[in-house]
Amino acid sequence: MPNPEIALSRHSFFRTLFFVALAAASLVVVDTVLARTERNETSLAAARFSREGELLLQQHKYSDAADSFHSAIANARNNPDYPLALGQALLDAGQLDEANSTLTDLLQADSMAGAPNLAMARVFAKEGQFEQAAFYYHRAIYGQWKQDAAANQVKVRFELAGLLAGRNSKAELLAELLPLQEDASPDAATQARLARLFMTAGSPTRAAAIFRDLVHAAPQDAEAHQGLGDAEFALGDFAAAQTAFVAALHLAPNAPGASTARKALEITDQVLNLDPMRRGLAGPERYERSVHILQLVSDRVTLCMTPSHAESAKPLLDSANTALTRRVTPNAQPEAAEANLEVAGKLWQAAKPDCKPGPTAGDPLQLVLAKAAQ
Amino acid sequence: MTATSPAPAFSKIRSWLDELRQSENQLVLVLSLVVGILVGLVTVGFILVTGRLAAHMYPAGGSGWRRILVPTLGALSTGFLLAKYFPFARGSGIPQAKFALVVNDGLITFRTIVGKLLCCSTSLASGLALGREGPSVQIGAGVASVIGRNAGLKVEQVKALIPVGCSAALAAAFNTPIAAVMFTLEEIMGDLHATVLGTAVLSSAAAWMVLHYFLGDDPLFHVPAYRLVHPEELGIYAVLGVVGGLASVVFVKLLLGMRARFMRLPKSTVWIQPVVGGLTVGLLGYFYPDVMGVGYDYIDRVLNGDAVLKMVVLLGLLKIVATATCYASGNAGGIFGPSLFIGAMMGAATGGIAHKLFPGITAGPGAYALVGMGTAFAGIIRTPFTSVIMIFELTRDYTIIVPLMISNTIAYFISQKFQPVTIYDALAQQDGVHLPSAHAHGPTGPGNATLVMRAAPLVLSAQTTVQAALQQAQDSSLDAWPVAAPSGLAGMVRRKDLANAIAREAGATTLETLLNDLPSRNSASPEFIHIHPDHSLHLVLERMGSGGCSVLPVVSRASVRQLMGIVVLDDVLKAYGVVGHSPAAPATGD
Repeated sequence: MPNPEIALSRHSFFRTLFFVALAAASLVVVDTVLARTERNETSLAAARFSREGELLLQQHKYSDAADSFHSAIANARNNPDYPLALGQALLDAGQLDEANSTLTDLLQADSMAGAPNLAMARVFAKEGQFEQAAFYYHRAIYGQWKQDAAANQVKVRFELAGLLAGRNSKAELLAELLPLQEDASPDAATQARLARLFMTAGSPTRAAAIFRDLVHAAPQDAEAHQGLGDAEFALGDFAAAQTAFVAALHLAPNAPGASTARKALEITDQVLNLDPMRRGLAGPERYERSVHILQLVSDRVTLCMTPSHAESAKPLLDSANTALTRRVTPNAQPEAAEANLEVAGKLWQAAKPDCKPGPTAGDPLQLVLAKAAQ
Repeated sequence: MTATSPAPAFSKIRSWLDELRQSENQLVLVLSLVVGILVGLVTVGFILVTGRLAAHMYPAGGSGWRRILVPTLGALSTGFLLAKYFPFARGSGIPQAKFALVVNDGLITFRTIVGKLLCCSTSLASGLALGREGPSVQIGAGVASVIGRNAGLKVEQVKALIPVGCSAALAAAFNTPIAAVMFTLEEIMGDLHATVLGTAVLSSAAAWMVLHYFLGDDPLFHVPAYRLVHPEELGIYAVLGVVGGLASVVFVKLLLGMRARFMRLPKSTVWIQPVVGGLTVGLLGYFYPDVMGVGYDYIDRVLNGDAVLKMVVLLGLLKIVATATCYASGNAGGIFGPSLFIGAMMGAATGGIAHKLFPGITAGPGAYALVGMGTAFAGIIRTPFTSVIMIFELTRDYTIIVPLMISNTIAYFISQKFQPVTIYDALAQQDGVHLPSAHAHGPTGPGNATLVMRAAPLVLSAQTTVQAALQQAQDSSLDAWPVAAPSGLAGMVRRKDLANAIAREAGATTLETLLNDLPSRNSASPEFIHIHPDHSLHLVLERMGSGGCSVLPVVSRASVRQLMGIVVLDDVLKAYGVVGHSPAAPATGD
């Protein structure tokens, strides 16, 4: 039931209602135009600040770049590219806490965004927190990328592999390389990089296979030959390694890696000259080489063994001396060669506590003994 | 010509509107919604216009001299407009909204709204160190007032719409719909249980939706997730409460002191006084640009940990000076935003020092800046509950609430101890307006002062001598009488004061001189003890006791010089049901 006491003047009520509606409609139009203008102007300003930031980054002025990106963010808060750029600038500037904080905000908004996860991984890698870094690298690999997702995923996995290689985490590295072998681009540079990482991961067989393919596809590729040489060397096929190193040096004698190849070839030559099990050797030469090896081992052990161990190794040293001084008929030489290598191996093992072995890759004697032990 | 009957839909709408205007509850709800939407639209427009103006006044790569010239010219132009055309658009807007609600029957003119929009947009865009929130509140209240009055609502209904407009404006200006309602209840109404809660919520939500429609869902500040690092950290937050409380007192006292000095200057200089604020902020801004404007961008950076200790301390102090000068000199703009800036800087400074001393148990300066904002707000604006809710809404971060509550409470009590009158009430008092405080809403007893108020039977002239006054009052049974000067009520003179003057052989002294020489009157408290008609009888008794008088003048809230009547102790006691009066009380009655 309408209350007459509160009944209002009908005319003024409707007139007010009309003016309110008119005012609201006008304000909607004005606000819409103003809001659009503001959005346009602020996004232009943000883009300008962002460009400034990029230029400053190129000039390695990281803190100034971060300031520019801050300004870009203040003008366009909804654009995730600017906080990402800021995070990367702060990372480059070494302001890791600030970078972490900026990227955390970004990841809270979208935890599976590829680029922020990659930046965060770099922050943790720089901080030395490798487990966290690996976590974010994986999120970046399996995350979403605005464009070229497959290429970015491969790129990130390579970066992670590089980090693992640097830490010599062979098992984890191999786990990253196996999917990379499937996904990586077939171009020579990528494949060579992959093969070298396989080498670091302790899988020279896979590395050799890749280098072989590269050599097959591009016989003039000196780098591929050198890589193949390294892989064959690691596999113990010194003859194949020698061939590959020779080819590499022949194709590019002045290449940046030529000196390494030359050194590797030198060692390979020494191993091949020492190796009594090398294919195609005549019986007498095989025997002569076994004597030479036994002589080398005996000399080294005599030099480095301490008196306490020398006592226990005395029977082996006596056996070696006997073997080195006795005369062997040509028919007995194959057996004598094997016996010499066996004594050399045992003597080498017995001397291990006292005689610190040299670097495996650079010590022909050690390489030959290792091969003989297989 | 044939008359066509209106379409059925139109006819239905018209009959619904007819029903609506006759149903009080429905009408209030619908008008709250309408006010909310309209205030939201106006506030969004205000924010956008200010932003665009500022962008054009300070283009990228502009000269440093611009930072001196623009605020000075901005203050000069708005100073002229405020003095000449929009005198009620000066200052924050919150005391004015309270004045409209309590004293002025909900009246805020359309002209004041236009003036506030125009002057605040210009002064804020020109870089004056003031905020937009207070002005928005007055604009919101004004929109509600204009709609209510033009729709033919009764005075009480118009007054009920004022808090609705305030709440909507604050929700849109600060992007804090809940805090807007809380602030309206806590500060504007002075009563957390006010009946306007429902309508205030409705308008706040409506305005907030309008804001989001136009400007998107983006919090005012972007804050990383902070948390309490260690329980011992609460002690440092308590220290922050002390720092924030003291900074609040310094700011409020400086602002009020400077304003009192400006008000003593000749009236002819009123139009140029704001230039002092503009020039001050310009000179400070030339060397430290972050002092200029409300400074939300810089707060955002500090909240994110980008705080250099020396710089935040300096900026906090400079902002206190800049805002106090801008406001005191009569510019249009509020102190909400600057309070947050001052608090954030004080917080970052405290946090920065604490983090250096105890890195293992403290968060970074950003967390302290966040709590500092609420602390300064609680200390300066003196609405602790609102400040907690507001910080939560501004940052959308719940984890820091407990330290915030501790810090706020300490700042609130320190501020209350050293500055008993809240800043908005003190500003109103400087203008001669006495707004009701929470104290006035205390225990009411049997009613308020109007119940026992009576006309003053004798009013003495301020130019009368003591001797003559004593003769005039000889037949009066009262113990004290109002003294009137040309400017209005000058005070109350007691029989005892007259007798003492005679005993000192000062019978020829005028009452004006006598009143000025009374020990209860000094420069710190130039006003006499009085009550307002809405004061409770409980408060009347309290003031009679503290003043040692049995008669008090009842004055208008709009002006303490406007005598409305007197209240006598006997009448009050009768209202309480006590027949006669205590033997200790002096003889009263007519």
